[in-house]
Amino acid sequence: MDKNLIGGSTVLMLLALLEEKDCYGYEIIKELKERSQNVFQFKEGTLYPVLHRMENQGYVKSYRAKAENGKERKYYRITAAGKAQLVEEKKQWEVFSGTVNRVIGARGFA
Amino acid sequence: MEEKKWENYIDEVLSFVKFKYDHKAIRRELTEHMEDMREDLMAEGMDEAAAEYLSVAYMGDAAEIGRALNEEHSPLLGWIWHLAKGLVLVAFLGTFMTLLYLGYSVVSPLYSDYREITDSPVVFTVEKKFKSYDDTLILDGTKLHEDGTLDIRYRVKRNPFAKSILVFRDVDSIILDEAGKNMHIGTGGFRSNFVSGSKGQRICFVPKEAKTLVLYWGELILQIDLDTGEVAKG
Repeated sequence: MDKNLIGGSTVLMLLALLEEKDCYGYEIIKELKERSQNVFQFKEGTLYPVLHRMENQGYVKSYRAKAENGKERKYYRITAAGKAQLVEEKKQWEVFSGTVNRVIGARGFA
Repeated sequence: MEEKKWENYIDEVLSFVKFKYDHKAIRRELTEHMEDMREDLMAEGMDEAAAEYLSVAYMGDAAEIGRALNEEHSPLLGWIWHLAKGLVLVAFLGTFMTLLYLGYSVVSPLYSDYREITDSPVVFTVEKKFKSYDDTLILDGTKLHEDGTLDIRYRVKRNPFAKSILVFRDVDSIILDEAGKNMHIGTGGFRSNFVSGSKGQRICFVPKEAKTLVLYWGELILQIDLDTGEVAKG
């Protein structure tokens, strides 16, 4: 897999994750690894430019709070604008994946 | 040095981020990430040195991340943001200081002291209250001294919740002789907060042949006998 987190569907995945709960960076990476059954293995540091960009765009807001292990971590929370963006990105993803499926399906039947 | 590897790595990342103001927060976030990673790797049975090595290696290329971070931490936007925050702080402090000053100016007139004018012995002292609408005039130790100094000390208290129109009335004074001739007008000053009251002091010199001190306070007229200190209205 592409080892960069700059790729197209990253924002969609991050927003979907943050819609479930507020997370700090390391937590996000762990969740992505687990849910993708280790298919997604990133250069973990590349997560942060993406998160910071999403914060600049107003999709997420960060705050510092204690994690379960008692240590303070920088959490990200999805905003109303982020939720709207998530809906938009989901739509785009469905169009995209549907189109890809049609293309490869058509080839398969050729 | 245990965390030297992390520090070196982050130093390299930050060397690409021009906006120095955000360096501290980025350093903290990346350090915490590697800290968590090392902890998890060690929990899986890896020894510390290897866990630390991998915690850096998994982060990815420092230059690539540094450049990407630099794009998100623009100095221009950063400084505008900090400037805006600064302005909010200044506005907040300004409001706070203004409120503090207002509070002080409401309270301070009533707590300021009268001036001591003379050591001469006191002939009489007047302490009396007179009410008028929602205001009260208090003759607050008005004194005649043997050397002829008349020290008129007064306070005006206003009920701050009163509905009647607020008319600011200072005290005026004249001194009359037996025939009713005006002999002197005093001088003085007052401090007021226009909300709950004011405090004032007038100084007059009383000639020997003076008979009556007349105080005017709005529609209230007080006549004080300068021999006895007795007060009569009207």
